[in-house]
Amino acid sequence: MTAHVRTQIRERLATQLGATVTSASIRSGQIFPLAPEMLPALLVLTGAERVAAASIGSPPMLTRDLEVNLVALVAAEDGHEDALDQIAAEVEQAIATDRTLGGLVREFQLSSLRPAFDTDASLPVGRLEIVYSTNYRVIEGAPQTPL
Amino acid sequence: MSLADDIAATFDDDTFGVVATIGGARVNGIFDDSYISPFGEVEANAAGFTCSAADVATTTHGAAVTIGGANYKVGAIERQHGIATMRLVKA
Repeated sequence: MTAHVRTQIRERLATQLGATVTSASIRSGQIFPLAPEMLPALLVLTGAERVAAASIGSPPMLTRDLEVNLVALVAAEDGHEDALDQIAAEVEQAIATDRTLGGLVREFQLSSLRPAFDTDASLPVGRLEIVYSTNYRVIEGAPQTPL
Repeated sequence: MSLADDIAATFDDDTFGVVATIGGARVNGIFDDSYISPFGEVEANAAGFTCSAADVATTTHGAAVTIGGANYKVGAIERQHGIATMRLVKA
């Protein structure tokens, strides 16, 4: 059975990012905290989604606005910002190679970057959330088939 | 017993303390290495050392710290009421 488009988007992103991003290991579907030796890492997460009917009739076509969060994590004594910026540069270049993710989505637009730092750990951790906004369309009841 | 005596007794390695080497000097204090999870996304420990502020009056950020064979650097120092609490960064 074909997976939900959200799943297909994560899988496609992991592949597309993996071809260009060399400064971090790509991880999709991660729910537990990462061990320090797994850093630097780039988490691929699908976030909140707004859905609206875009046609008259039954079943309607749905237009779905999805937020995709790419979370870069690094742990080091120093140089966090430079390391995170390097990952962001590689991510943006990777996305630019195909902004439709192989035809899954209609657009894939960078919307924000949110840096944060945690200095409580004995190996300080830097985090950069790279947020993309995307849109895809499906027929209601067929969320595995993008239009 | 003076406050200084109380502090010294608390940090003595015969009571709650351990001996650390800070900038080449032996200092008694309490070492804590609790688990934390930065952002809920990474497994980590927060190493800290609490001692008499007088014992580390000249210690600065980046000073070398050795505790139990593990090497750290001073990341931050909070000094108040005669007590110093240092956040330690792995060296």
